[in-house]
Amino acid sequence: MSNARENILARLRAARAERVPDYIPRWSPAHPEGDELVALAVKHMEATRTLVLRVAPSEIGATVRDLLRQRSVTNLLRAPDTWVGELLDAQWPGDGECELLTWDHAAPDYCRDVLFPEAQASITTVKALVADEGAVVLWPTPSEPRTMSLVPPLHIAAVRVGQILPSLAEAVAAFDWAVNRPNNAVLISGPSRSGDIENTLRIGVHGPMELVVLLVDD
Amino acid sequence: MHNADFTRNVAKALNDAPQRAHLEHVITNFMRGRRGLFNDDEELAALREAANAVKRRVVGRLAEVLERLEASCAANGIQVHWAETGEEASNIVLDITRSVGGKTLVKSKSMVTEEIHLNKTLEANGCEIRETDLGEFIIQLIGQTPFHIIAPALHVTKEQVGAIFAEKIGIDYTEDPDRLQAEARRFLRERFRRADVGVTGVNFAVAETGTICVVENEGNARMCASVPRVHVAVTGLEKIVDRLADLPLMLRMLVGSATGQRISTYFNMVGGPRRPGDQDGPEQVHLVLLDNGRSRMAGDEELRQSLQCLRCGACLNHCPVFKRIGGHAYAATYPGPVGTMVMPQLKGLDEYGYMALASSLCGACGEVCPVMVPIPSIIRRLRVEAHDAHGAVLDHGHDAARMESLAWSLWAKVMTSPGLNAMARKTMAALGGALPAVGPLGAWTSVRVRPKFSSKGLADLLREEDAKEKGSK
Ligand code: SF4
Repeated sequence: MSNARENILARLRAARAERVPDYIPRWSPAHPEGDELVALAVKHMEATRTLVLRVAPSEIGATVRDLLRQRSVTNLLRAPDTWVGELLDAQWPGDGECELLTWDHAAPDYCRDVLFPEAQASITTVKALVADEGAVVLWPTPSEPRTMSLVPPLHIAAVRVGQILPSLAEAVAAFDWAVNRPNNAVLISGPSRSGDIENTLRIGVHGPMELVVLLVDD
Repeated sequence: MHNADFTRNVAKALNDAPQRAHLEHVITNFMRGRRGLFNDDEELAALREAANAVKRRVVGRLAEVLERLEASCAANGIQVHWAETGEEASNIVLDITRSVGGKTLVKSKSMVTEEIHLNKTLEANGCEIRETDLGEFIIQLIGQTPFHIIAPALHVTKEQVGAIFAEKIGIDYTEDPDRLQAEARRFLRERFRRADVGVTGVNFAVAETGTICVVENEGNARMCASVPRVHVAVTGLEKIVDRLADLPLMLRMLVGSATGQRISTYFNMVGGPRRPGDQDGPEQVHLVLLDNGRSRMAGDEELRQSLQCLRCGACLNHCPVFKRIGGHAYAATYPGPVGTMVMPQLKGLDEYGYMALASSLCGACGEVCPVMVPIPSIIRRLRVEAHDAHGAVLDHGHDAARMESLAWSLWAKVMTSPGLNAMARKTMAALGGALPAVGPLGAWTSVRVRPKFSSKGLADLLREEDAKEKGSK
């Protein structure tokens, strides 16, 4: 197989190298600030059928409970060691109507054994929300793994207003992304969708059928 | 395939009125979507220039970029494999599957895996590979190939989907798209959960950081890259960007040109297998780099521009030929203008030379291409290559008929000699009306107005003009 590598590279090296321009023109999307930035983020996320709710930190528990109740959802996966997990735990009523699930790190395969068959909803934190694209940026962690935002039918993304950035380009720079390489990152702009049956847009095929962004005041 | 078979396919497609109406409808949607997003001509021109520069830097120094990508991937724990041919690439995927004792695979939509006929190889060797993109899932059930590079099941109606699902996955017949979609979800979830290996394509591989990027709307590609214990990404060796900072622009250009979305629902960036403490994600990530004719394309400065392609599908949507005949008539993995451009280069003019003829050279494809690939010039070049004994494309000169070469050299002689030219002109003026409607010229005259030859040529008219001007002075 290493032969293939050598052969391919030899052919490519034989090609006369093109004189390519030294600089790459930078693309800089709009750069709004303050309320304008928030409004742009909300507009672009709503355009892809994402429900955006703006709440104070003290209202998170009640807001999430209402959301779940309206949808007859009876469990919610959250990570207790994140800021939103801590707020939820403190505000969650102990009436047993809706159970808070915790990813069991000791289980042999929580993803296949519990997440797939049982979890109805999840709430995760985000790394940022990029306004120009209209997408939340997630860098999954051991406490909020990759499939936590993918497998449950309802995904709630908790975003602090201060986490909104103008664009993906600015996020790449702000997080020194090329240096701090996460082994997975994902941008999510809305619920899972498909246009494959007669080219009409339908929501909820393989991933979450609903994406809710909780915009939490700092 | 031969040109005659292609002509038959075209005639069949042209007479399929329902398909044509549906195709027209869908393509108009795609065009409107793209136009809605890129609605400022000046800005679009600047974006295309920038995107073109990003890709030119890559395809102009591929050896260097690939080595950098390989090193970055290795540092991330991604195993890189090189394949000269499609068969080699398929066998690499098979070997990886066997090495983990696996048998079942789930796969997301990827044109390059169509190009290498991956499923055939795996199935022939006792593996089960399941397409999971809804459109691909549908056409896999009926053994067809994609109709459009970004909308594979565009030609299948909801009634047909209902019948296919009833027959192949055993559900009660329904033609309600929401219920059909829900059935596919239910059916495929179990497959994701149990699969040994997940296969995806690649939209961008970042040389600087060793990141594999996959664009999608459904979530199935994320499933394939996150749930099974092994993730294999297969890519043509040209789908690279230099730097992570190039991604925002390229993502916008790809998705916007394809569907008019600002961004796809998911943009998944895989930077390596799971690390200690991670709760999910693949234990192994592999990247298969496929040549299959691409390094030959890179050797020619004009043809190498074909390697800038992002596979967005915009050129299909804006092509008057594709719009009328659809994807299957071409009988090629890549249809439409992009296919016309790359198939003969990948597989040879002998087999796919007919595609180069299926273009009116109207230029629409080149105008919408987000990375400014000069598709019409390259198609024209392929036509020349078919007759050129000294060309660069596989099977160049295969069509260089002796009679034709002779005819053209005669023509050149006549056109460059004033005496012969005048003689020929007079002969044509006298005999042109008697052009036969049968024989080799019949193909021309049967679909075109028969040309009328003037008794005077341009030279005669100019001479007359000159004489008149002199007379009036
Ligand atoms: S040639 Fe250009 S327009 Fe056509 S698929 Fe490739 S990138 Fe898109």
